[in-house]
Amino acid sequence: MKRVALVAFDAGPYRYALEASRVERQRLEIDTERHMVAATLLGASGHHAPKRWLTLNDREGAWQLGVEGRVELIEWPAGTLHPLPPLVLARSTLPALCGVALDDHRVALWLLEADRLSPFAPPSPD
Amino acid sequence: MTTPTPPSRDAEHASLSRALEDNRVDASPTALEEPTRQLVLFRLAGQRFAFDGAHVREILSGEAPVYFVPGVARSVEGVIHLRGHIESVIALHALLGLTPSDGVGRVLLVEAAGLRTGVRIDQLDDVCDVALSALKAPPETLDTALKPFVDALIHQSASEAIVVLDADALLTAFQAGQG
Repeated sequence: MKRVALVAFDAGPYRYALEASRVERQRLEIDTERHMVAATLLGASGHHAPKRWLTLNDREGAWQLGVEGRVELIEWPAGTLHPLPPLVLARSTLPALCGVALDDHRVALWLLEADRLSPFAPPSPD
Repeated sequence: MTTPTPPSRDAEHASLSRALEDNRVDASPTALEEPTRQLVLFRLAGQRFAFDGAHVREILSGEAPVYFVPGVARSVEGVIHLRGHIESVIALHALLGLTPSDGVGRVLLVEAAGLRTGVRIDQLDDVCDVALSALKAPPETLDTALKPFVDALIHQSASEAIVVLDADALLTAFQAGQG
């Protein structure tokens, strides 16, 4: 069975994941002016201070995403990754939210599209 | 084969007429030929509604776990895992101008306007065939919130009607951000 490498982290009450190939590195500190706490970006309430900073890239270069909880590099069976239904996508305020990862038929992770996550350089229309 | 019973002239006359009446089949041309429409009848916020049966793919238990999706409108209840697929579950109360309900009720898996979604209902009443002649055009005085989404009415009594919803219009409006 094919697997997809993901980096999973917490933001508020939810556990999210990004495709691992889109995460350049993980740091304990901020090292760029372009940074954002994931919980803030994802509208989560009751969040804690970030413990790790993931370095991602957008059209303008590197930026950092502050995440909570344990940060894991995991390999997930491709067959258990599902896109969100169109009505959910249409009514979402989170443009980067694109799917779910199931574990034993339960939603375990909310999947984020790295290209649509940056608050600094929105993706080009195409 | 029915076993004959001893003759009892009065009783036989009475029972025959009753039997014939009870067993009468309405064979009038109208009854046989009148086209019908299958409807799924349900309740939301105490009101009676229906979807055309052609739009309802499945009637699901209301007990299936629904996963709340971060960052979505309140009328999106969440997603469910249904036999290897992820389906949305929505509530139509806001779109129809109804008071939100408590309880799990049931979920209708509705397909319309090129979309598929679970729709939470309070109660399933029936799945039945209704003569087209029983479906009446909605009156001009219909509630403005409901009006764009009403396909027809079925009058149950002078004061009660079943509202047949236009599933295409509902899901199109929902996708566009209404409700």
